[in-house]
Amino acid sequence: MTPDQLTKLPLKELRALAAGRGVAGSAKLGKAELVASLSGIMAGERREPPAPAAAPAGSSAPPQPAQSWQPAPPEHGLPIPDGYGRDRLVLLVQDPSHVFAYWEVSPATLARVRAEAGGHGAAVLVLRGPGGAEQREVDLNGGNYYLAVAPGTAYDAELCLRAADGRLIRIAGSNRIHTPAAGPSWRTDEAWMEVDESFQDLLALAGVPGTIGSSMGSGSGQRFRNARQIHVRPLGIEGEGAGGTIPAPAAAVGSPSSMSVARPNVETWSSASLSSAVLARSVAIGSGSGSGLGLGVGVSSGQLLSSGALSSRALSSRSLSSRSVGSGTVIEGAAEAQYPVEGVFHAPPTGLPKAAEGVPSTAPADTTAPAQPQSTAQPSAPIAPNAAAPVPAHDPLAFIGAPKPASQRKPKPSRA
Amino acid sequence: MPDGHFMLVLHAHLPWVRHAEDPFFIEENWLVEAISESYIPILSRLERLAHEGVRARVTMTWTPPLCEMLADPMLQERYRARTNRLLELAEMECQAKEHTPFAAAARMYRDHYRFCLTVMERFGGNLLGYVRLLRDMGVVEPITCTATHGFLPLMYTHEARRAQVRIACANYQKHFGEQPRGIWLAECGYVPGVEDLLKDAGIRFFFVDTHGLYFGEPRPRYGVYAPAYTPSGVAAFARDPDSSRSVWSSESGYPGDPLYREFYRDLGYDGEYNWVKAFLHPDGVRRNLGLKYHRITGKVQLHEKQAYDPVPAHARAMDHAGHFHYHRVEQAKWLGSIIEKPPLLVSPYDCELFGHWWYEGPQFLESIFRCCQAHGHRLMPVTGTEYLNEFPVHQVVQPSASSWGDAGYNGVWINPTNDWIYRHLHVAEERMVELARRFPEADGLLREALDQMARELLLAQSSDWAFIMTTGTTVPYAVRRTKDHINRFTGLYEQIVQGRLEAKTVHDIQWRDPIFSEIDYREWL
Repeated sequence: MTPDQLTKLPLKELRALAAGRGVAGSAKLGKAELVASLSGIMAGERREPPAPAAAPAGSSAPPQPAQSWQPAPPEHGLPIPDGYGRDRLVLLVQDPSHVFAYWEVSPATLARVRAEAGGHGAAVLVLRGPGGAEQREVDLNGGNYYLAVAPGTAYDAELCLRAADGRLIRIAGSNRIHTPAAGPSWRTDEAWMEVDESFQDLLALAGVPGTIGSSMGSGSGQRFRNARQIHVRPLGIEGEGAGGTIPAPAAAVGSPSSMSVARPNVETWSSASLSSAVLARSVAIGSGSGSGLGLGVGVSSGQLLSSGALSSRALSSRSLSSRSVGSGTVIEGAAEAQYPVEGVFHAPPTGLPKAAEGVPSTAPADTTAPAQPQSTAQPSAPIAPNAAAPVPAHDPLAFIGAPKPASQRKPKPSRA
Repeated sequence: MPDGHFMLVLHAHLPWVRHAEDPFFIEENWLVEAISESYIPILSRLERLAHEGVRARVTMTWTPPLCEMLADPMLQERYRARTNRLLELAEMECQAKEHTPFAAAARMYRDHYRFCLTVMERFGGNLLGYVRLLRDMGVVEPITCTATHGFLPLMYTHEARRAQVRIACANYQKHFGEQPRGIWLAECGYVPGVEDLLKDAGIRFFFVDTHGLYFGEPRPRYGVYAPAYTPSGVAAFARDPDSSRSVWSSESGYPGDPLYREFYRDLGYDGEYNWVKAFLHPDGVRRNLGLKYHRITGKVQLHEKQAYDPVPAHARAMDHAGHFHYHRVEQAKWLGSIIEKPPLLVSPYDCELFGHWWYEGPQFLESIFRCCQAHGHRLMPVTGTEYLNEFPVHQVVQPSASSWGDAGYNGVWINPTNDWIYRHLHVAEERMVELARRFPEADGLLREALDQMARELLLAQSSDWAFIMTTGTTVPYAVRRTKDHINRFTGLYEQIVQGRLEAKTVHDIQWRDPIFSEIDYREWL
């Protein structure tokens, strides 16, 4: 740094620089003295051209680097396109209460929709959630927006031009996203599973045909090419009166987790209903256990996690031994086994949402110059999935203690 | 019957940094420092424990880019050369500081660099040999990570996420000779659906942050003190917040103890310029060399820090390990009374915390295992697979979308400092799928180009770049890397679709980014 540059720095920073270089008494020096000291030190540090060749033989000076060195390429990086000439709108989840939207509009499309709107129109982002659609005015050239939304909710959006008469002319539609949960679920019914690899190996050795679903066949190509096959066996659903074909074990009486929660239908533990539960979960939390968020290490957590009933219930892990299960026998103490006990392989669930439904666009590439993307942070009013559902006022993570801050685990600061 | 089980998880990761075009690339020092300060100390202490019959278990992520760098001959040679230089400096320092309060530390560095060189010699320059040895001894369970530490929640296509998982598994097979049983999702970035990709790849377990399980559906009966099965049968282990807090907290965590080595007083800055100049980068700018002679001392100014003495510092680390062990046992006993089975404490950390940021960290880890042994294994160290083999029955829970980044979701990787990258990454994802489908049976130069496009896409997807842009450390480098890879990807794409593919372009780019020699672009089909 030159003396001029040093003079421009605030006093605090000069003191820190001086202290870092071991300038004695830097805490008490005035600005002029600090600039003078630092200039002297830094003059000695200024870059010098690399010395050629090695040190002379017998010299005690440290050897210079033998290779000539070229400076690194420009720091700003190689050029990349400003845009890709296609119309698109993409939503990305930032956190339970915020979504990021970016878009690109080709000039041809812009001209077309403007014509349709009768010359002018306000650009709006139509955000659709379970509670309805909301229009937010945006700057079409902005291209990057942050939107306040509700947790645990599914959204998609459309970028439109709104004509003077209120008609919306669509420019692009977005993918569908789901904001994450901001607190614990109200669902406390449980399902249990046993995954036992060794059983699968034994079965394979036995070479018994027909006991394994076709998707397990080792010759089924790419999909299971390197898969270690997992034997998955549902053990039934804990809780009362499940109905359907999978009965609950007999011992579940008065367990705290079964209170006041309507028992969903049979496929409780299957992916399809779990996905709908994920989508439909309302923000309101509370199933009678106080604040409903008391899952911390206080006494209230004991009520949720403890179960005097658990140890007596047939499905507690202590009452099972992996060996007895591995041999394919019915679990002792389990309910009358009407659920599948053979090697049923459950195909990967299809009902779960893919958070970013990305079907690659087949739109033809438009070679005209697209709009310039700029960052514009514009939070606006949240859409509540249900106007009556209260939004929690407190920090839902407070009971856990904050997840580890990234700043405390920075692996690579101040390297240069 | 133990009071509790303890799963230590160390996440060893560095982004792929290899610049053949520049013999003194600064960021390659990340690898040199991590090997000398973190990986070698930890692995050698684990080996010592094993030889002494002390039970030690670590589930350890070795990410694909890190494995590739450790196995790369050019980078191995650069490590050797750099460490030899530092050894020269350390020897000079030993003489110069002989009758000063810094003498013990100077000897410590000299001996340590000698030791590092012998370790590398023992394994032919490839540290993964050491990892495999410890795996075979049953001490380390190596697991993989998304291919270039890609952050899955912010990817657009299913194909891109799947490719990050599949390529990771193929790379793990190359380095470890078998398929991985576990995976560390980069930053614990999880969205529902990822478990299906993992199931297809034959993976048995992965990790989520604390709230990933607490906010799951339905509520986990055992909180984070037992894993849960996702509906696909792949297990999710969740982080125990208490064991993390005692280490990570900048206020009250162990690493802030006054006896420990101070990171921010380094010979590269403190040393007389002409003395250290030959060991700095040729541009002459002062940077960290790794020889540090001061201890934290307390809340004092940098220039008031006192001399570092290795012996009491390492003794303090042993004390802290005892403290940690004691509290984990108390925690386990108390939890066990609530949930009526011995809890599992999952303690994941970035590996570089131990040794690089916290110099005495590896001693701390070694001493934890000694404490477990000395107290009759009331706290029983286990690895992921060991635990699942012993306890195969768990609740089915759909974890919620989450990460272990600041604030627990995606904010670190998408905010105004870095949001500009996603329009480029997403288009690149789609273009990769488009070309894979258009040319499912490419060979010759086209095949090489498509494979190289795949490499460029993966390298652009490293979550490290977005992370660095947020933390504001080496931002120009992160921006440059993102742009360079997008540029190369786009260049190859355009040459292909316009039918004017040039061998020269393909080979130049291959020379620059030779990661994943085994890659197959058809993973995006």
